[in-house]
Amino acid sequence: MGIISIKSTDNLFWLGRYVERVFTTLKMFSECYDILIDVDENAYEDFLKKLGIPNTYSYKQDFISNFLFDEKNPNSVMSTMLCAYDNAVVMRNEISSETMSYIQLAVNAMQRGKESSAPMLKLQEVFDCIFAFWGSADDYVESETTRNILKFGRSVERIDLYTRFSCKPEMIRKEFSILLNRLYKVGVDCNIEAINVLMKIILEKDDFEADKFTIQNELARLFVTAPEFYG
Amino acid sequence: MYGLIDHKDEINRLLSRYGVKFGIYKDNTFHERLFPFDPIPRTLTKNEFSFLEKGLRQRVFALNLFLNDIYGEKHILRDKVIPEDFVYYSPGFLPPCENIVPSKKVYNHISGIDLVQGKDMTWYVLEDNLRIPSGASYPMIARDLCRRASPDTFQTNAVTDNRCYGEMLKKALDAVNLGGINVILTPGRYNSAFFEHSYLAEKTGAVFAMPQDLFVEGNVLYYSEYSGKRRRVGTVYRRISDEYLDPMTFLPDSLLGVPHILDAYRAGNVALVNAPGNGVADDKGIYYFVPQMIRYYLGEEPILTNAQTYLPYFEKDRQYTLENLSKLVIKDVSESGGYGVVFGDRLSEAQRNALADAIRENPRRFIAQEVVDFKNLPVFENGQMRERKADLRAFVLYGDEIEVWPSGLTRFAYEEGSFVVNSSQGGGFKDTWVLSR
Repeated sequence: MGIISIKSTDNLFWLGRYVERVFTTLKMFSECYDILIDVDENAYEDFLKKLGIPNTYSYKQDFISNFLFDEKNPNSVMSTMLCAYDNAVVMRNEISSETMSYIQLAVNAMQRGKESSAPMLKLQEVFDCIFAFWGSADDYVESETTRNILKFGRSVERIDLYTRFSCKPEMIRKEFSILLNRLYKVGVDCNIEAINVLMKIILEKDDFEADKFTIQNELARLFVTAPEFYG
Repeated sequence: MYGLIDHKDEINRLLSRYGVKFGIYKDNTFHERLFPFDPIPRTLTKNEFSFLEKGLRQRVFALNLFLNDIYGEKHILRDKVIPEDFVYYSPGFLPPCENIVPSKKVYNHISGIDLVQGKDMTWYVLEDNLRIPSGASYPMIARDLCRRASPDTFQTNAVTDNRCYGEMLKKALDAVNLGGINVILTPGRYNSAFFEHSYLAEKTGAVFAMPQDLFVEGNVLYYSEYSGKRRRVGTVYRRISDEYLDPMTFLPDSLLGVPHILDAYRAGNVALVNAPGNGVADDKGIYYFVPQMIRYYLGEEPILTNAQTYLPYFEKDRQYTLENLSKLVIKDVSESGGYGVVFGDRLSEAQRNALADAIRENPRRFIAQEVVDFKNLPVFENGQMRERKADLRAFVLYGDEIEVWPSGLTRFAYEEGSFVVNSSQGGGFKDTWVLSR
């Protein structure tokens, strides 16, 4: 396995999280977009509420264009994509130029989407790039630990978003079991206390609605990248 | 060749996909720019490259001897081959590096020598870059894409593969390694050459480090691993300027450096690539003396020619410079990246007078050169062949031996007729082919 610093593990973890955030958010956005067309033009308010994002949008179209593409809006999908890029670009040597290139392509696709008269069609390319990114990570990233940290980040983000969007408990449980399986492979200390709390909720309860915030908080303190590791 | 031209846009798109960019600060904001690639290569015949290779080896060898001498016995000053002023007043001369002997006595492990070919086909050295010359990664990655775009072109032309740069660099880093891992140290994501730093780490297998990943204890440099373990570092290919390298020795408010790294270097526990203090040898003023240096240290005639240069520091040269300002190019020795270069014929009378006053007031600050009317190279632009001025940055690697990379970065000017080829000024780049027969 490659020699990597604590800062690099943080970059990998957040790369996994941001890429997944773009992916799942766009998936959920697509569902919301469909409802916005002719069912409920205020459906975006509930969407934002679930994500815990303040509603700063004046109307439907304002939400669609700015939530997707406004680089200056830290909550936009574009900003999240650029955060993924920022974490990827410093990890080129670890994830390979090939894997890195799919993040660049996803950024380019987002930019093309912004300029398109049919952005939702263009956004399919973003999904394609993200799928390719994960495929490339499996093929080109030599270090198993690196792959595991990336995917650990993906699982954390996925559980967080699935919980926010009240996805079925089976979906959350499935992702949580993937996360547990990776827990001992990442090689970085994880917060055992947080794991125990999450296990009690996700594995033992039938409904997580009342524990949403606890799940989100415990996920946030799961991955330990504390500065005391520096010499 | 036409296969390459046909695919120019696709190659550029792929370069963009791989993040082949350079950073630039404009109005205090960081922007990433693509480095436009022109697919028509500069071609060097086997004989031409052999000649350049011989000349570059000689020049780099002499420059390394000069650095050993300047930070050691200073024979060249005592023998008055170079006036002391040009060394001691050079901002590149670093007194803290006095009497430090680097691993294998190599200072300039990676030299980027800028050359141009005149219309008379003579090659002239324009500049030596011995601090942190950048640019090798661009033709390396472009070659890879060109081979994919037009395999026929490479089947019918015997082009020496240039994708060995990573291995050559690794060999040089290994040669001077003082025990431990090789590290490429970048100041960070917002450095203009960040793409190259990360790409070279990938290609050499060196550990890619940010300053906060490194620390010195007991005059030994370590890399902090994520598990809390420390790894001893034997070579640092640092892409941070001298002044920011160690806040305990140089700029105290530098956040980019590694405290006490110079102590580890001084103690002979780590090799710094390139060695700090090299700026004294690639100073634009010292450039004038390189031919004398070659004669002095090697007892040989220089193989490569300098552009005709005048030092206003010498009265005779100052007189000539002031009388011929309108036909000379004047360079401020403290500037780089294409800045501080003034063509006398493009100045108004008032500007020329102001420049003359500045030269009289501080002659050491300037050099003057005859304008080398260098050869135009064809570029393919908007569906048409056009011509642009272009230079060549040759890369010379020095570890156990001196090796010249069989390629180079050919940069061309953005505008027709312009002599400024720097990427920061909007220019593009070409691959450089060395023919093997």
